[in-house]
Amino acid sequence: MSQVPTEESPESAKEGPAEPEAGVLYVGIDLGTSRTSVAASNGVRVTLASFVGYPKDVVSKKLLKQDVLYGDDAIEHRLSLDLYRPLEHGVLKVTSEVAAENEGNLRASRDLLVEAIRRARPRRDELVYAVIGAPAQASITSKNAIIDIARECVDSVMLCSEPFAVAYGQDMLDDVLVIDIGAGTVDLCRMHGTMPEDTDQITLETAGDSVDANLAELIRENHPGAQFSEKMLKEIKERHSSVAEVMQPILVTLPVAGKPTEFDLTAEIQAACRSIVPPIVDGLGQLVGSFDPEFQERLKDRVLLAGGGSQIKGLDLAIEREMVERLGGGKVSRIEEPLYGGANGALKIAHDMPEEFWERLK
Amino acid sequence: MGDHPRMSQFPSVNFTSTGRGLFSTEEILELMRGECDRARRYAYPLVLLRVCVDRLEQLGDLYGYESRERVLEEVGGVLCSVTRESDMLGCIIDSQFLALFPHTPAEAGRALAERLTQAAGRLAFHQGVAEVKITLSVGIALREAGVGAQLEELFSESAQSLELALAAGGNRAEVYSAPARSLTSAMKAVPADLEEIGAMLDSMLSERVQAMFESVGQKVPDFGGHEQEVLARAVKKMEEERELLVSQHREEMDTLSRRMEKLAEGLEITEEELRQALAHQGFDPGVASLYRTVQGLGAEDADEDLKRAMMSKIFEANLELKEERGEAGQPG
Ligand SMILES: Nc1ncnc2c1ncn2[C@@H]1O[C@H](COP(=O)(O)OP(=O)(O)OP(=O)(O)O)[C@@H](O)[C@H]1O
Ligand SMILES: [Mg+2]
Repeated sequence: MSQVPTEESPESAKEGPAEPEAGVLYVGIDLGTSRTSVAASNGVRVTLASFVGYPKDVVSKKLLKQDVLYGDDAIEHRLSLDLYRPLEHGVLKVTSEVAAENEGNLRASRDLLVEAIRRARPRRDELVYAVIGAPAQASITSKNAIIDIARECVDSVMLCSEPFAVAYGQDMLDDVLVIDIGAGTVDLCRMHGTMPEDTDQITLETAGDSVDANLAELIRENHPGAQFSEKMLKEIKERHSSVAEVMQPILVTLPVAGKPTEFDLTAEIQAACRSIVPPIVDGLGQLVGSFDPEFQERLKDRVLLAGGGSQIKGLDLAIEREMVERLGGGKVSRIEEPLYGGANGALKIAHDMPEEFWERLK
Repeated sequence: MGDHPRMSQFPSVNFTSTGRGLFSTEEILELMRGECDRARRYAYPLVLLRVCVDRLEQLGDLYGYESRERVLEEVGGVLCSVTRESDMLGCIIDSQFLALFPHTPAEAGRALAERLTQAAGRLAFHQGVAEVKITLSVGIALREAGVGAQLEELFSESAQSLELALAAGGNRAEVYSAPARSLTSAMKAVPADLEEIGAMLDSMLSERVQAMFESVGQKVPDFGGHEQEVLARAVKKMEEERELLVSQHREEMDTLSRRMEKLAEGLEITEEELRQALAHQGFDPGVASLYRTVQGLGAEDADEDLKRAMMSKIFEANLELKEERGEAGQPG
C-alpha cells in the first residue's frame, strides 16, 4: 500500500534542498558477464546480453543504421562488428596491458550501462539512484571503474555484493548461503547479521562458461566429426541442461562435414553440468566450516540457488545430495526468478537506502 | 372563362345523405380532384365552401332523424338555388356540404357564402306547433387564379375556416387564409383556449398558494384575488435571477472553453514537438517511478534495525570507495 504514488507532503517539502523536486527512480542493476538485468521502481524490468558492438567500417555502419549495437542484436551481427563483452569473471576488463583494449572495454561497458539504464525508461525530471550488484570479490580498481561509468548516467550510485543483493531480495538476511551461478563466476556468499565481509565470500570460476567449455571438450572427444559453434553449444545446453540421475535421451542434430547428423548428447550434457557441483559443495563446506558451530546446521539448511545457471534441472537436489554426503546435511532452494534475482534485490536495497546516503554519494 | 370547358350543373351534385344520385360521393370527389387539376393547369381561381347546419345534432335529437334529413335536403336545395349562376360540384360528407366552384374568384366566393347564410335564415321548418329556425356556418377555402391547390388542401383549409365560424358562434362564413396559415390559425384559435386555461391556472394557483401556506402552518394571507399578480411578480423575479445566473454561467463557460481551446492548442503543439523529438532522437518520455519521494526504511519493515545496519555498511563501503577515488573523480 505504501507503494502507491503519493504527493510530497508539506513537511517533507520543508526539509530544503535535500528533498528532490521530482520523483526518484530507483534502479537495481545486475551487471553480469553474460547478461545485464535491470529492475526499476517504475515497474520496468529488462535484461540484455552483456555485449556491445561497433560497426567495423563505414559500410557496416550504413547497413546497420546504428553506431552501437547491444545485446542479442550485437551478437547477431557480430561479423560486421567490433564485438565487446566488457565484463569478464564479473569484472570490468580494464586491467589489460594493452591500453587500447582497456579503452575499448571501458567504452563498451559505459555504453552498456547507459543503454541498460535507458531501457529502464527513466523520466527526464526524475533523479535516478542506482544500486549495482558487483561480484563479491571484484577489485577496488574494477569497482571504481564501474562507479565512474555509472556516475555519468545516474544521479547517485552504490555498489553492493551481488549475492548479498540476491539474499536481500529474498528477505533472507540472516544465516543464509547464496549460490549465484552466472556465466563467468559462481559466487558463494555467507550472510549472518551484517554485511558480508571478504571472508564470507567465495568466487568460483566453474560457472556457465566453464560448463560450455566442458561440453565442447566432451563432444569433441566423443563425437570428433560433429561441428558446432559456441553459440550453438550454449543454446543446446540451456535447452537440455540437467543433472538428474534419470533423464530422457538428449538427441541433438549437428552437422558432420556439412551433413546434419543426430547425436545422443545425454552423457555429455549430464557430465558437463555436473562438473560445477563439486566445486560448489567444496566452497559451501569452507563457508559452513568456518562459521559459528552453533549456527552451522541452520546455515546448511538455508542455501539459496540463483543466477542463470541455477536453471539446470535437478541442480538443487544434486547439490543437496553432495552436501549430505560430504557435509552431513543440507537443504537447497531455488529462487523464483533466477534471471532477476540480483536486479530485484539491488532495487530493494536502493529503495531501502536512506536519502541522506544517496545525497552524500552524489 | 367561356373558352374553358364547363360542366353541366346538376348531374355533378349529390346532396343526398345516402350518397345516392347520378354520381356517387366518390365520383364527385374524383370530379372535384379533376377540377383542381384543371384549375391549376389553366390557372383559374377556385372556391370551396364547406357548409354545415348549426346545431344539427341537437335538432336531430329533438325532432327525430327524419327532421334532420329534411333539413339537409332543404339546405341542399338552397345551396343549389343560391349558386344557380355558377358551376358547382357538390356532395355531403358527415352532414357537411362540400361545394366546389371553379372559375370563381375570392370575392365571388365570399359573396356566395354570404348569400347562403342569409338564404338559410329564410328557411322555416314546422315541427308540430314549433317553428324551427335554421342557421348555417360556412368555411371558405380560396385559391386565386394561378395559385392552384390540391383538393385535400382545400378540404383541410375549409375545415379550419368552418371551425373558425363555429367558434365564433355559427351563422356566419369565415375564410381561412392559407398564406399565413400557421400563424393566423394559431392566433385566431388560441384566445378561446387561453381563457379556459387561464381560468384553470388561476384556480390551481390559488389552491397551490393556499397549500403552501398551510404546509408551513401559516394562515393564508388574503391576496384579494391578486394571486396572479403576486405570482407574476414572483415569476418575473425568478426569471430575472435565472437570466442573471444563466448569463454568468455563459460567461464562465465562454472563458472555460476559450481556455480549453488554448490548452488543446498547446497540447497539440507539444505533442507535435514531442513526436518530432521522438522521431529525430529516439527520445522516450519514460515511465514514472512508483515512488514520488525517497522511501527509505520504515518502521513497518520487518527487521528494520538489521536492514538499517546493512544499509549503513553498504553506504560506508561506497563512501570509502569514493574517498579512494578522491575528489578528482567527481564531476562538479
Ligand atoms: N536453462 C539453463 N540451463 C543452464 N544454464 C543456463 C540456463 N539458462 C542460462 N544459463 C546459463 O547461465 C549463465 C548466465 O547466468 P547469469 O545471467 O546469471 O550470468 P551473469 O550474471 O551474466 O554472469 P556473472 O554472474 O558470472 O557475471 C550462462 O552461462 C547461461 O548459459
Ligand atoms: Mg550474475
